[in-house]
Amino acid sequence: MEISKNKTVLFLSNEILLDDGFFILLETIDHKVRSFEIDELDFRVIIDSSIYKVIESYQASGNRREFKRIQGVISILETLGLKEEIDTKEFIDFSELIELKKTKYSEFDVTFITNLKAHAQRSFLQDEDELLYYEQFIDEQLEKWILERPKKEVVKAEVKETETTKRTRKQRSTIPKTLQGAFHTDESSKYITVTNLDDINYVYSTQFGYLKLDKENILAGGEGKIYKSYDNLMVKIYTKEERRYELVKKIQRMIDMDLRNSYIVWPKDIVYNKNEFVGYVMDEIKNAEGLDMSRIYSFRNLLYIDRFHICIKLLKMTKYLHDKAILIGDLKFDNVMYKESTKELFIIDSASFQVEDYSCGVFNADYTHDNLKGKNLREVLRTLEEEYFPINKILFEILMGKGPFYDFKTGEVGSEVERDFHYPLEVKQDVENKNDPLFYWAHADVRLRQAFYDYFKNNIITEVPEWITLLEDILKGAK
Amino acid sequence: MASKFDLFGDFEPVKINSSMKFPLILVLDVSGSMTQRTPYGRKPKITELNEKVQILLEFVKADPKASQITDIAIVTFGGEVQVQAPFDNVKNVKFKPLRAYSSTPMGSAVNVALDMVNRRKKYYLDNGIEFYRPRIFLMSDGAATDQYEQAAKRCSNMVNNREVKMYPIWIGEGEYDYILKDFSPELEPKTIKSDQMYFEMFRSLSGSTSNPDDDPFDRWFKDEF
Repeated sequence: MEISKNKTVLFLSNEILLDDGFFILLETIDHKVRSFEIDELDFRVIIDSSIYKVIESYQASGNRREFKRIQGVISILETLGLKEEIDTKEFIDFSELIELKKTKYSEFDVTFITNLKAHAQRSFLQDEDELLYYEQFIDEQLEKWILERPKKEVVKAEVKETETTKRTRKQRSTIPKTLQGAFHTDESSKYITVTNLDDINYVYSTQFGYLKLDKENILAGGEGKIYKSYDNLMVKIYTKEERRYELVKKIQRMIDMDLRNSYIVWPKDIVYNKNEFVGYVMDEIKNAEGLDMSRIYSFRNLLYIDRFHICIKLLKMTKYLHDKAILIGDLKFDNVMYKESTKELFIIDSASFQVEDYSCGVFNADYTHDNLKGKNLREVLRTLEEEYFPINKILFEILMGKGPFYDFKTGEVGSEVERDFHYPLEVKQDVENKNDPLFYWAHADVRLRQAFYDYFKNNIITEVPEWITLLEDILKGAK
Repeated sequence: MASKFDLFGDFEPVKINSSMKFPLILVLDVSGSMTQRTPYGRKPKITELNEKVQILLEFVKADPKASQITDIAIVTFGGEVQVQAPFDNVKNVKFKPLRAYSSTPMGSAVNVALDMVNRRKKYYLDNGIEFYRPRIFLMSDGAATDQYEQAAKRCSNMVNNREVKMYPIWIGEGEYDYILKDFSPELEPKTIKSDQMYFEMFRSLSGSTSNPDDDPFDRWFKDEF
């Protein structure tokens, strides 16, 4: 590195302070500053404030060599008057560095030196205008990092072009075309916090203060646990592995959005444990049950007319979200709650929704479009077309009582069964037994059969507003 | 054909039994060697097994959804093949602690289990009950002592024809006995190597009964975590 030519800022990743190559470089800098070859005001070295934690941990674990080495480097930088500090939240958020380059150090070459590709890559992704340089030490020499932006993945549903699809193709997507790849951190990147989920008894919210977690009332889920707390509030605490940087940003973005639908259970505030992000707080839904419990009774525990109302409410909420460029993503019966006493319907688990370029990383194989199979869903943005798969499957199961891929020859369901639609558009035989899997299909309004047949047999989509109109029309015609 | 039923008018909600089922059959080795301890465990294998099956049944019975959809059957082999519990809703399954003795007629036990699975599937189909593919949980600590080849072939055919899912578990010495593999054309048998692993197996199996779509047991078996 030519250190005397241009005004220079070096930003150091913590491990660089232990690198022999850096030590050699530091000796050169030291010599040049002391001999006035370079002006200290033209040469700055920025370290991350998390280095003090590293020093503490070396001291605590008795690694004296490392402890003294880092302290030595810092005192040399201080003595030379080169040292500055920023806080990147442990190399997660580089906005302060990028901002310095744009303002105070606009005349300087700013180089981020790190031997960790994840750090370089993460900074590079945030540094959209490529203002910074990225270098690493290889055999005590500085070398450039080769960094790439992820290829933007375009996921398109294969909808067969027929007259009907053309008809329904008008202005379907509300998802902005510019958002194609999801915002995500890579697997090697560190998680935000380390405290084990079960060790947390209280959390703090700036809006609600301290919230006690009721350890007697726990709902377990794949990404963490949900606890009851005070005042009809519930707290979702993520497992360590789920507490990722993009999740905090996503939940903060969701809280900032102006969402006014009390039937969609939305995050109210982020909660912290000792200043660490651990989850969010939301309203508790009382006396409601997941629709998955009705699914196992083929929905025969509910009046047929109520099954229609459930579908219409679900579609209206879905439309409300789609209009805001939000996809539910992991749409399944477990995430829809029904309160029978008031006939109210709620959608839960909203933090998993696909919001702008924050992806929906979770799925249930049985309710996921074929396009998404085998993909890392944290990296991929889903399309509206793909959301029509769970929408149609759920509507079908509520109204017909059985799965759309029910195999009349074997009776098997589940994600391992071929997705073939065996229901005939016209039912020839007389179906009188209510236990017959064809019963609700055979006696359903023909327009309903047609819409499902179109979708599952011919990939023709009935859009959400059209579904609402259709179901309301059928209800009007009912006695 | 015009419908003579008015779906909106004619029906009241009914309390029916769950019309969606998750059938699981435990095929368990109770031969003489099960009185010994595992290399990692402190108790005789049969005691350990009795405890785990009891915990599994209690968990499934206590879960609102699993208790409705899970149909369990238990077949044992030790000297002879015994149907400890025919297929029934888990709430009706009575479990008496198993005793271990004698030889290992694994082939005959699997044959009995396959017959039971087929009868159960016919019952579901005849009654319009949806079901997830039946799971056979085959656990053994020794080599089959009967003429097992025919049963193994029949079982493999049914797995290949996607009629049943077979999960062979080995709790014997060393890596698994190759006979188990003959019953399972898709999945390599899994060797239990620690108490922790034994515990996780039953915990994930409980999880699958309340959430067959997610199927934590299948993921545990395939090391997909």
